[in-house]
Amino acid sequence: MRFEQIIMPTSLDEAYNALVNDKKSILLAGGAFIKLQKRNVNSAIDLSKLDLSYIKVEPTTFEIGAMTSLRQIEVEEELPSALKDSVKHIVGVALRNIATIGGSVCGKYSFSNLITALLALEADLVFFKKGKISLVDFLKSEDTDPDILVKIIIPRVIQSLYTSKQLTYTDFPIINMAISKNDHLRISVGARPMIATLIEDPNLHLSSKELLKDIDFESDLKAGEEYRRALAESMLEDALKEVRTWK
Amino acid sequence: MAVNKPIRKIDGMGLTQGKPAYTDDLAPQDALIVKALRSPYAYAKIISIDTSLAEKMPEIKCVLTYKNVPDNLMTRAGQGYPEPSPYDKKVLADVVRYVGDAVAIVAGTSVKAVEQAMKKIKVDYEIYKPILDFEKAKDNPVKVHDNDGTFEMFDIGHFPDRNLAAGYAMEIGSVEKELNSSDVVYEGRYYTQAQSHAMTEPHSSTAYLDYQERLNIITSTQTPFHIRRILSRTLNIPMEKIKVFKPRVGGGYGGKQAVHGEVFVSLVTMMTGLPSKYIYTRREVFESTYSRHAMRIDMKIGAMKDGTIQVIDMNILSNTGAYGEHALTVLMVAGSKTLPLYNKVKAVGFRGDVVYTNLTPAGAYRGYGAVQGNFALESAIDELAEILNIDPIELRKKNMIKEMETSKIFEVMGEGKEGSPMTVESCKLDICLENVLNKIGWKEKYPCVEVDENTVRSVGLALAMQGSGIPFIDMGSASIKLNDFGTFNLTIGATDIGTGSDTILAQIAAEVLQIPVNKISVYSSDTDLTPFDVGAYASSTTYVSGNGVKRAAEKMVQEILRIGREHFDSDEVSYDGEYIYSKDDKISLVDLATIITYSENQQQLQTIGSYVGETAPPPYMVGAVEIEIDKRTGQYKILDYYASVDCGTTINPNLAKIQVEGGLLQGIGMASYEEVNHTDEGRLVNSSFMKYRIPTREEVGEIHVEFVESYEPSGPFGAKSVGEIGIDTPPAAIANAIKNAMGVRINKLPIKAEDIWMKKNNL
Amino acid sequence: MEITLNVNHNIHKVLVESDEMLLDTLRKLGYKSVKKGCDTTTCGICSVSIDDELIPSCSYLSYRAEGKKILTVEGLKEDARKIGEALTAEGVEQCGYCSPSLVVAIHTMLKQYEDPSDEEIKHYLVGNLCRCSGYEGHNRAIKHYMEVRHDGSK
Repeated sequence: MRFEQIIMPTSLDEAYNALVNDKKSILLAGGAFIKLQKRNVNSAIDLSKLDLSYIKVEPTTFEIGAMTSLRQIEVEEELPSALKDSVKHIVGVALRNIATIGGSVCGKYSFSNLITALLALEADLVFFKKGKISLVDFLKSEDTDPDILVKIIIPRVIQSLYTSKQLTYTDFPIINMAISKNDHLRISVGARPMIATLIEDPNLHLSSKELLKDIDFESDLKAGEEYRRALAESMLEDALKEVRTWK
Repeated sequence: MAVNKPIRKIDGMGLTQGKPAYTDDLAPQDALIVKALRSPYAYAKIISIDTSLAEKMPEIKCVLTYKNVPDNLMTRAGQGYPEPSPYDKKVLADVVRYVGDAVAIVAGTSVKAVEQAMKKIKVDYEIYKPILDFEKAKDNPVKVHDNDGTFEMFDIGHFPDRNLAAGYAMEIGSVEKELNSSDVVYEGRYYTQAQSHAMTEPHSSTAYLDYQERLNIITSTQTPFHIRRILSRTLNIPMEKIKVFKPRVGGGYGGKQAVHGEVFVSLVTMMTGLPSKYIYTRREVFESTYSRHAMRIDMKIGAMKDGTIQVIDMNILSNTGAYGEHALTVLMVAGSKTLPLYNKVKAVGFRGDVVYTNLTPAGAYRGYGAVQGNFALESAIDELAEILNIDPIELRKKNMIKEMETSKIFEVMGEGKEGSPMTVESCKLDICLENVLNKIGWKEKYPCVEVDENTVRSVGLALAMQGSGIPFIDMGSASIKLNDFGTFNLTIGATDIGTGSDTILAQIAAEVLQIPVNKISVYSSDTDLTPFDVGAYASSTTYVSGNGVKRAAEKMVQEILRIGREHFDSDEVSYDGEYIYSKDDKISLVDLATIITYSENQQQLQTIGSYVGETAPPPYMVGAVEIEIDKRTGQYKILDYYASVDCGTTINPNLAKIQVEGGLLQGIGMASYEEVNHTDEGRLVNSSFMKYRIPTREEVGEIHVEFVESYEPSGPFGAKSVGEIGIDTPPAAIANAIKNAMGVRINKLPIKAEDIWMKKNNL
Repeated sequence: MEITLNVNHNIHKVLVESDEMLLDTLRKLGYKSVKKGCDTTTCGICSVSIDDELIPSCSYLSYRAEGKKILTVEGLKEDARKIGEALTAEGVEQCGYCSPSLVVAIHTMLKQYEDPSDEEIKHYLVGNLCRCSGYEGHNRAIKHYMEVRHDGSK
């Protein structure tokens, strides 16, 4: 991607106005994949002076600023393991030092490791204009009105895990999966290759095969539909062994 | 002594400290940026091309299309001359034959301007139907080279009207008769993929005219002398007007043997008079250089019930893509550097076609056919053992080649022509095998061990051989100069692409001269200043160039003795590296060198040595892998890889070890995850490190490499080659381990868990 | 735009385009140790240290580095030499193209982990690709360097 100018807003208002005033502008988060995008724009609105890089540990929730790097998430002890583990396979420490949680979520990448974890963790997104919206709704939404993601809120959970299978350690997943337990169990399955989805009312007494019965899988170059299902079943089987040991 | 010592690479500290050393580091600051507009179509004719808008931009200094470049056909292969590859490529042509083929070249003062200019070039294509499936290419009505004048320098079986870039067939004894009289016959079909070299430094070259108005090329190449020749002949530039220098190179593995951007920067600089540079993008490295030849290999092996292998037949279809670089020779090596492993056969057959398709061309890549052939042969041997109900190790022991034996194949099959007979004077394959079996704990682990209800661990093994240069073709030479105060300059044509050849060649010279390596300054790979060398390929540098260096050094010892005799006016002098002795006197080399430079009997001592092999003694190795596999899904990982190597004397044990470790990991990548896909339109999908997965440090498991004691009489201080052998065994060893765990034979690379799962479940 | 960069404790005033990446700026300034491998953050070969964090300079906008402390291998001095000595003692630098960034990565790793385990080393360095070596020699070299480093401090 090429752009002619940088806009460096110091308030969300300023950033929002810049975004709506110029259709050929983009929000600049970590910038990790600028080089991979082909389109050219007039201006890039840099969000790095808005103090959106933070992890707040609250009594019942975690609040993560949209500009928080994936590396910060990985090394923050307090965060749920599903979230920390989900970023570990993303390219490398150097990339994770610049890529942000906001950029990852807003990309709605179907292969996303992070979204699978956030979905199991019952995350809410807080936008500047639209306000609070659940990740579940955000993924379903086709709303393309300009807005700025400010932070992500996840409730504290008792336990959680993330698991994935990929060709090499840093490759995109063939399947990923996250499970969290609070007063209830949430299981998300992603990279199907479609974006992550939740298993409705998971019942621990069911087999992994039965639990995945209503989850759709598709074929792509990484794997066929049938194999993805078989792989997901084995992964869930192994994960459930651990989940059953949770209190 | 200097040989067999693990000394540091002489360029190692400079490189780790980031000293400017590679092509782009050395390119003139004001070099024009050169880029190529590349074809979006797999096969198309350029009906019209309008470059006027691009040319009007003030930043743009030069635009090249087929209309304003020399029209000569060439092969980019970068081999000895005359080349065994078809002349089927023009610098730029009005027909593009794969997605990524060059359409136009733009040179300008900034990357941005050049990118803009490329967008302003209007091209009208007539899109042709491409041929993408190599199994349908032969005699297909779609012809990749349709009456475009391609030709061969000598008979290589080039029939472009049948889509055949090259072909070969040979038979020793009667294959049919021996198959008929065998107790059992195994037949199997194997597929290997178009692996990418994925060297870290993209292909880079820069050009400028010097004060003598000569064209200077600095380029990331494995073959500076071939580059000079190809540039001269293709671009109609007199040879004496060209100088090619190879600086440090960020990895090659065969991928930088051919000409790439050198033709373009040469033309731009000749036309504009300005320096220029072309640094390939990562996508261009994947899409527009070349890959390994994908192959389909049909195996037939006949054997008696007692395990005597009677006959082996190998039939290959090789895919060279749009252009035929290395088409014939890679094909031949698939047989000539695998089949002699089982030399006791009564008959052996080998034949193959190399077809054109509208895909990224194939070319040289470490292993050079041997790794493809090895996957088929060493998988097939395990399958044969199963049919015979004989232990696969015992089957190998009974039939494999041993020291002081020979194989008729050495005589019949060379590279592109007949071979040369050879008795194998060093072959420790038997010791390698015993060592690997012991170290991996084969007895306890074969075929597999259950870990838990879903997981098993299994082992698999393969033998391998390679060559050491190409006999009667590959020549390497060296020059040694004695300086005042007793230091030496070693100048070599040999091409260090990171392997450490500058260092090991200095070690060889130091051994002969009986001096510390640090008394030798090394300068290499400069077509003006260093003597000829074919370059870094065919596992030739240690053996061929090493022998050249040894000869030059031996002559230097004779020269030192001569001036010693003159100095002492005595016929009986000796030399021990430090002093020259007469019967009753001595003078240090330092003093004598200084005297003959400045004060008496003044003269310059300089010697030259060159070598061309009469044989190519193969290095051998045994590789064995232990994997862990999930029986439910076929997901597997490598735990340990044991390798025992006979490469003769290791001139530098550290560098030899890294060659094998690195080769093994490239082989593991080829075996496991380096997948190559194309869209239905023929575009390469895996054209970035995101889509083309090379092994990371998390995939290695543990690699254990040892060298057995061995001495090759024809090699410098007993050395053979070690550059390629490491890559050969992983595909077959891993496939065999999977068979031993899951009971299914995977015959296609890379070995995907999904394929294991499907075969296991009969899907 | 004109920006001021602190590279290896040298202050540079330099004109950059708004979408210029630090990799290109650093090379322009003469820091040739910083290499281009993939230009899309996937190989690790352009990595530099910014405020002691490992950063892919190919995708880090130059203006964002203003006010920060950039270190390339040229600026790591004694530490770079010692890591370089450990790597070359194994011969594992091979073609050398990925070495400067690996040296920087080892340096930043040891700023964050006092005594990293084998697993931590692999995980931290996994984004630094190498096609020559097979990585095993890196492990030997890093372990050796960590021993030498500790011996030195005792």
